[in-house]
Formats: sequence, structure tokens, C-alpha cells
Amino acid sequence: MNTRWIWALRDVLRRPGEALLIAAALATLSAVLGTTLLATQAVTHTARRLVGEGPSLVIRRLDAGGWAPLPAAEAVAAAKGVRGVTDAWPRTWGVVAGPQGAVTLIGTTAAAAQALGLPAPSQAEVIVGPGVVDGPVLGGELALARLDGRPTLPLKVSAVLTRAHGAALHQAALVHPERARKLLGLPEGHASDLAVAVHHDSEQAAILPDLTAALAFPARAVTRLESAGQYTTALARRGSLATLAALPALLAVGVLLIGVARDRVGRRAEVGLLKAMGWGTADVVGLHLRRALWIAVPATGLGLAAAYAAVLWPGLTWPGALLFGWSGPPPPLSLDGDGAALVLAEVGALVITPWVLAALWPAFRAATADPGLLLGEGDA
Amino acid sequence: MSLVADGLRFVRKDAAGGERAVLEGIDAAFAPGTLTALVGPSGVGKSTLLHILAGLLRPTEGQVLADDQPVSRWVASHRDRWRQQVGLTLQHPHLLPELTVLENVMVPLVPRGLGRKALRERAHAALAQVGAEPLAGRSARALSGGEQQRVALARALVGAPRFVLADEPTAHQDDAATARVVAALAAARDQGAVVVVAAHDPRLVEAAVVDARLRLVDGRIA
Repeated sequence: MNTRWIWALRDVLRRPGEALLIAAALATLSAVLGTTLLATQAVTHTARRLVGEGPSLVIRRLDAGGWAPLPAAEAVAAAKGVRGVTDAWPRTWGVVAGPQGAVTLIGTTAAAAQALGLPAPSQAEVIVGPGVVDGPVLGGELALARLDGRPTLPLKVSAVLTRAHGAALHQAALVHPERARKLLGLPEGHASDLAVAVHHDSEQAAILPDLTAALAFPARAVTRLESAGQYTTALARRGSLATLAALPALLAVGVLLIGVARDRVGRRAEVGLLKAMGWGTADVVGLHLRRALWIAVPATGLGLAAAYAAVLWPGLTWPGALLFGWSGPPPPLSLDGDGAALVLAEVGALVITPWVLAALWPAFRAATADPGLLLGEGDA
Repeated sequence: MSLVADGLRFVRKDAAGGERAVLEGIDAAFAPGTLTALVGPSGVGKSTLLHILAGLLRPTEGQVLADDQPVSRWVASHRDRWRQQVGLTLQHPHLLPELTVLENVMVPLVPRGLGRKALRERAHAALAQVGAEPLAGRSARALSGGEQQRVALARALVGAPRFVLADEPTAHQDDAATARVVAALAAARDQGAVVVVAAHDPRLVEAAVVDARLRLVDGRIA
């Protein structure tokens, strides 16, 4: 290793307590900012991916009270008759109360269960996601209740999904379609909504008027692009608010940096000594830059590693509760390379840059003064 | 390769805004291969003259010429580069207390891009020159005043400077240590360096190796 880098490290170790304090502050700030930004990135990316895997369009029936069940067979036939639609299928789903909070109840056909590698649930059975119950429950009973509080019969847990089945099924209960309809209080032959597939995403908006006109009831259709936009906007707003929570940490580090900068002014005599010993301004500033990086880079790396672990390994547990108000075990999240690089760049800009500038500016000012004045020697 | 003080005047401002001339009309030439002692009581400006010769302070009037170049008028970056040819000890040794003696002696060599081995070898040699080799591994904060002065002189000599400027290098030294310091200064002189020392100590001022003595009285050469 270059002698100058070794010397800078030795200089850091001259005051190990101070270096540790600063490193701890920078690591904490990096962890707080990194957790917030990584969590927002990961949830946004996961949400976009889930929406991308969903149907092109979702149609729901409207009535004076809001959403209403739609007649399944009639809606499918009408949608399939519209030019550009490649497929349409009814979906039975809704929100019910589980033992650990809200659960998405999904009516699951035999084909859908087979796609998950599981046998289809009978009328008395349920397949549960890993976020629905805590601990092993295979073969046990699960009581699900309608949100209006009416009790329902317990179902036998025939299978438990794993995190590998994805975030969409994390807090879901898969039941026989007929059981789902009854639990949700839907009339016979009715579904919650209608999923529609089209040839290309670019056709989604163009098909909408024909589709709503073809249906015999007032309907509202949401395209995949609209869903993705809604998710992203909501999560970005949440993430921005969460970032504001990091402000106290940022202020604390600011106070620390001011203290360090003042202390460095007190060390002007040391800069004077180095210059008296033949060091140039660039040598002095270079030493302080290397010193600052020796502290900031490992500290920020540690903070980001902690943030990564908190968000993605083993999952967004307490940060999910803190940032997004989640309860129960977290869903599996994914993060793309661009998102991670963006977070690294943001944390780098917010943590390392101010610290390095705070370290360099007093050193630069001292290094450009007359060394004799810095040393404050007498005139004996 | 001479060092010349040409009509130097230095005015120091005090905290109350008053001014005091510390040096007035200093003309002196220091030839290579000579050891000159600046003598005089405390407060006459010996240290200030050394600081100006070393380029640490700018004179209020006049100039310092090194090899006929007006180094005191150069911009800071050029003076920084020139100062690499100067080996300086200050009245206060200014060692870095958290470092070992050996590391303190390495300080002037760090920006020169030498490898670790070369740094260590040269620092050990400089310490041996002033008889401080046994102190190499000790913490600088554990040294006595005299030991600190000898380590500071080793630090000044480690870069084989062309100009050696030493302020009270024998302060707090016993006779044996003083002899080592005088011998080290004489060795630098014998290698062709310009050596200027500020001293009260008669063991140094009266030493046979001193080629010339300049007496300062109230900031002027008497």
C-alpha cells in the first residue's frame, strides 16, 4: 500500500476514540438513510414487478354504494367480445380478518393451485401464506371471519406457502372458489372483479372505452400502467416522509462535523509543523482527504450493510413496521441493480461528501496560511 | 548555494493593534559549509530571524535569497517546495505526542513518496546521528525535554537538507548529549549544508566547530 495511505491510517489511529465516535455517527446515519431508501426502492420494485405479473386490466362494477359484485359469466362473455382482448376471467377475492390481522382471501381454482405445485383446496380446506399465521400450522385449523364480524366455520390448513411463492401470496388465504364466495358474501354466480388480458400494454387505454361500453353495468377499469403509477406514487410519498425522519440524525451528524471542524482549527499548529517540515499544501490536504476516507468509507459501508440486512435479509421486519406500518412477518422483497446503485450514490452524496468537505476545508485554510503564524512560536 | 538576509525588517502586531519592530535592517550572508551561531539574550529576534530564513514568516521589508533566488517573495506553493531543502528545529520541539520517536522523525519524508523500508532506515540513521537511536520505539510523549530536542534535530536532518536552521538545539541537554548535537551539526556543515543556529548555550556558541557568530541586540546585528 502507498506510504501516504498508510501514514493517513496511522494519523487516524493517533486519536482512536475520536475516529470511532465519528465512524459510529457516520455508520448510524448511513444505516438510517440506507434503510429508508433501500426499503422504499425494494418495496417499489417489488410492487412494480407484482403489478407487471398481473392482468392487463381489472374491471370492477360500480353502484351507488361503491364497488359491487359483478355477474361472472355475463362479464366474461362481454369482455371476450371486445376487439383486442385475448382473455378474460372472473376473480373472487376480498379482505377478511385472520388471527394476525387482515388477510387477502382468494378463491383458487384447481388450475391455479396446480400452478403453485399444490393440490386444490376442498371446501373445508385452506392454503395459507407465510404471513398469515405465526409458526407451524399444517393440519391445524384457521378461523377466518368476515370484516362485518360474523363468525365463520374454521378451515383445515392443507398447505403453507413459503416466501418463495412471492410477495403477492405472503398474507393470503387460498380457498375453494365457492367457499371464498360464501365467506365474502357474494351472490351465487358473481365475482369480485374481472381480469382482462390484451395483446400489448399500449392497447390498454384504447380498449377501455369499448370494454366499458360492452358491459351491461357501470364499471371502472384500471390498467396495469395506472396501478403501477398509483403504487409508485404512494410508496415514493411514504419514502419521502420516512426520509424526513432521518433529519434528526442528519442534524446530529452536522453538529458533530461542526465540532470536528472547530477542533481542526485548533490543530492549525500541527498543519504549521507539517509545512515547516517541508509538506506542501497539496500534501496536507491529501493527508486530510485520506484520513477522512479511511473513516468514512468503512463506516458508510458498514451502515449500508446494516441497512441491506435490515431490509432484505431476513426481510423488512422492524423497518417495515416503522416505515410502512406493516404488521406480521414481512413479505419477500427484491431489489434491482439500478435501485441499489441509486441508493449507494444517494447515501454517498448525503454522508460522505459533507464529511469529507468538513474535514478538508479547515485543513485547506490552515495549509494556505503562513506556517510561522500557525506555529505561534515566540520571538526570543 | 548560499543563504542571504537582505535588509530584513519584521514588524509584529500585538493583540491591542500596536506594532513592534522585532527585526530591523538585518543584512547577513550564510555560506555553504559554514556553521553560524546567532547569539544574544532572549527576545532579540533570533527565532524570528530563523523563521524568516526558513520561509515560515514573510519579512515586512527586505528579502531572503537562497542561491540568489528571492524565496521570501515567492508564492506559497513555491516556498513550500523550497522548504523541502530546509531542515528546521524550533525552540519548542513540536513532536507529535501520539506517535513514536521513529515515526516523528519520518514526518518530513512522508510526502516524498519513499517506501516504508527506506523511511525506517533513514529515520534510524538520523536518530543514530544525534545519539537517540535507543529512543526509536518510545512514545514521543514519554521523552524528557532534552530528548525531545534531539529527536527534533534528527527530524530536521533526516532529509539531508541543504539548509539547517536550529533554534536552541542544545537546550536541556547534558554535556554528552550536547557533544552529540554539536557533532551532528558539524557533520551537516561538513557535507556542505548552510547551518545556522540560534543559541544562548556557551557549550554550543563557544564550540570550535562554529565558524561565525552574529550577535543580535534589539533586533539589529551588533
